[in-house]
Amino acid sequence: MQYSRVLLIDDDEDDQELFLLAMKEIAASVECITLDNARSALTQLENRALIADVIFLDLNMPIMTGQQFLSELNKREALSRIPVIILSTSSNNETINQARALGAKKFVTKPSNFTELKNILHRILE
Amino acid sequence: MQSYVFLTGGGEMGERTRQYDWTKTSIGSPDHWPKSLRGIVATILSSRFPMFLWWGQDLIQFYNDAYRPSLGNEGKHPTALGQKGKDCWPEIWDIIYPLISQVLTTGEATWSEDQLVPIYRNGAIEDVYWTFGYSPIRDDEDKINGVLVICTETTQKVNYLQELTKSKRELEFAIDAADLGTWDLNPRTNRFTANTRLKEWFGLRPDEEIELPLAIAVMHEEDRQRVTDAILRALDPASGGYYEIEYRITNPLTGVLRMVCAKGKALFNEESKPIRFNGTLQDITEQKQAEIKEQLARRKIEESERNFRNTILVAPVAICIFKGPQFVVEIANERMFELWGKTPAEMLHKPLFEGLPEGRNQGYEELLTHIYNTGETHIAQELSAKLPRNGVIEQHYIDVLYEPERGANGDVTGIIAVAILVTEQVKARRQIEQVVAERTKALAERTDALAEANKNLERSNAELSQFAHIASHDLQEPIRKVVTYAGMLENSPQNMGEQAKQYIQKISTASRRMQVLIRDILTYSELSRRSPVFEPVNLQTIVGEMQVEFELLIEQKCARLQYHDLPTIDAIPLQMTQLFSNLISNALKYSRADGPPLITITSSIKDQQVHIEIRDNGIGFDQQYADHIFSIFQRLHRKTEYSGTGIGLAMCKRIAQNHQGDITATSEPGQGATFHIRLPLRHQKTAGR
Repeated sequence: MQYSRVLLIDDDEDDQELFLLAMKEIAASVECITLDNARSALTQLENRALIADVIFLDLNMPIMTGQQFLSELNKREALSRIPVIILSTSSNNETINQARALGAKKFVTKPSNFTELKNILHRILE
Repeated sequence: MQSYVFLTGGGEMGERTRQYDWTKTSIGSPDHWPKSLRGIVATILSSRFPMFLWWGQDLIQFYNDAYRPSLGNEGKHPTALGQKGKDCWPEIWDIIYPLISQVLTTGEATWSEDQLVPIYRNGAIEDVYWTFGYSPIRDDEDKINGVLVICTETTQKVNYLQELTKSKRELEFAIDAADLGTWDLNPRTNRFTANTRLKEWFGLRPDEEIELPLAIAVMHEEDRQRVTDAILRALDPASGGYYEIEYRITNPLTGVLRMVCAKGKALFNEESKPIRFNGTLQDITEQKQAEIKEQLARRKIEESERNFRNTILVAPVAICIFKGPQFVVEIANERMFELWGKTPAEMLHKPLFEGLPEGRNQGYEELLTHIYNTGETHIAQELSAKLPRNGVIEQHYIDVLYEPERGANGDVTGIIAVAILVTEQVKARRQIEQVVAERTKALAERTDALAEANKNLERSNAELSQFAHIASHDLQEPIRKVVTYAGMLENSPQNMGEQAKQYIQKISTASRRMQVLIRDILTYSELSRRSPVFEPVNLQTIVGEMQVEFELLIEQKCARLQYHDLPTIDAIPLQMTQLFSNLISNALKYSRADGPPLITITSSIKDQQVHIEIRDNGIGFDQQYADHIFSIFQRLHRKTEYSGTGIGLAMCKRIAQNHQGDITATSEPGQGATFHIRLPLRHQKTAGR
């Protein structure tokens, strides 16, 4: 495993639960933190109250969207090198291209199949 | 003072001769004059004939009263008396001394007629003509000692002669200039003399003579008797001798025909016999021809004027001619009288507005005056005209043409007026215009209402589209979870009874189908959400990608996908992918069970339009559903037979429309289906082209 500290920013509790469940099954040793507020996540990362090797990011969130989070992250030298993987319900091309342009490393449409989720995460973290 | 008998009388010169102090001259006192001198001086002084004498060695001069005018008022008189010849005539001494000398030496008299001898008189040198004789006078010793001049001044006669010659020359010149022939008939001999020109006309040489019969023969046959009669009449004293006649002659040499006018007069002697008959002959051929031409032209003008008047009278429109600045009605046809609402008697040969006072103050006086003054043609349509009809003034409308009529010198002399009564047409048209205006207004109102309805429809469509988009987008999340959790349940069967397992499976199937539906609705709604960006899209590449995408299905069904040389067109790339994806997916889906699917994609270009045909050998459909299949949620089959949401072809149609194109389908059940897509080759707002 190339990452030891994984951060998921998603306001959907079900998706947080499914993510943690999948992570537990495929990589129990990896430290997983979930936050439902992108602004708070940005602050903690800045303060170094929180350290992440990779960030999984939902886009459609209140307070601060995934896109806003990405552009804020880019402005911060120290944080801009953290790889960000988008995990969104959307499969819209425009959304995908926009996220890529903002520096997202990968775009994953949330699958409707738990096994598939595990497979995807496994490929990413390997 | 001594008186001498021989010096008595003689008027002024007698007196002067008597008073003169002759002792101062070389001839001395009259007491000692020789007899011969006394005699000749007496003769001179008593003669009424102008006489002059030079006497003795010094040529001492004597002259009488008759001679005196020749010396003029200012000049030699009276100093010439007793003067030496040489002193008196210095200006002509060169001329006269040789004559004098000749007479003195030879004793022979001389005679000179109309000799120019200029002399000083009346204060100037004058050209004076003389006819004079110098005669020798002998003295008592019979020796020639004097010269008597008997002379007459002929200046007046010479001048008259010169005048006469000049007039004659002028007359000849005039005759010549006027191209006149002259003739002079001797009635006794019937012979002519004539000038060269006349002879030439009669075909004679200048030196040939003319006789009357010959001249008559040259005349035109029809004219001969007339001319002969005229000549005979002129030679009859009772006629006064006048002769004037026109006749034709043909030059016998050249054949040239001339029309001539002969004028002349006969002169008679005391016995009333004609002695001379002369006159002129004028070539009037051209004049006659011109006259004939003019007559013809005048006749033609008259004829065309008659025609013009007839044309006016029978014309199918109202026509009239106004003359002069008062617009006197010269001629008008029946239609014009009808238009005026007047009888010919009321209008003809009267000023227009006198016959038609109702026509005043409608602008026509000013209009006609303007045309009359400027000579401009005036054409106007639907002029308002208030005209009398059975004693009532009615509103009418006329189309008019006013054309100025010009006289021979180009000045406007009148106006030709053509008028067409268009009252009925104008009224009808105005009614139509009113109806049209009303209808246009009503139509505009309805158009406005329609536009409003359309706007509402567009708004509600947009709202609906927005709703569909939001709904489908937000529904994705819950359905994904339902599908996920149902799947998780399905995969942990150990905790459930059989019944529960079946239910879970049904939930899972239904929710997966619902997920597909929601995704398709979202895709469909997104097709019309944003203003699309066109760019060159290679359809061959797109279909190639589809072949990869459907690789698994193609393998499973042993299908063949044939396509080649598909063009590059201006399009929205993603939508082209969706279009071909849907159509190829359909063709694979609705394949026949009894054979492998064959999908053929061909294209052609005509008039900047690409026509793409996607032909399959599948189950096909009844042609009556050809439109139906493109409506959203319309399915021809139960979903258990063929899976699908009923959105795919609706999406294809929307995509074609987004490209200003069209999609149709032709098929027969069991015979496969062909989808026809027509798309513009080029799109104006295309990026990167």
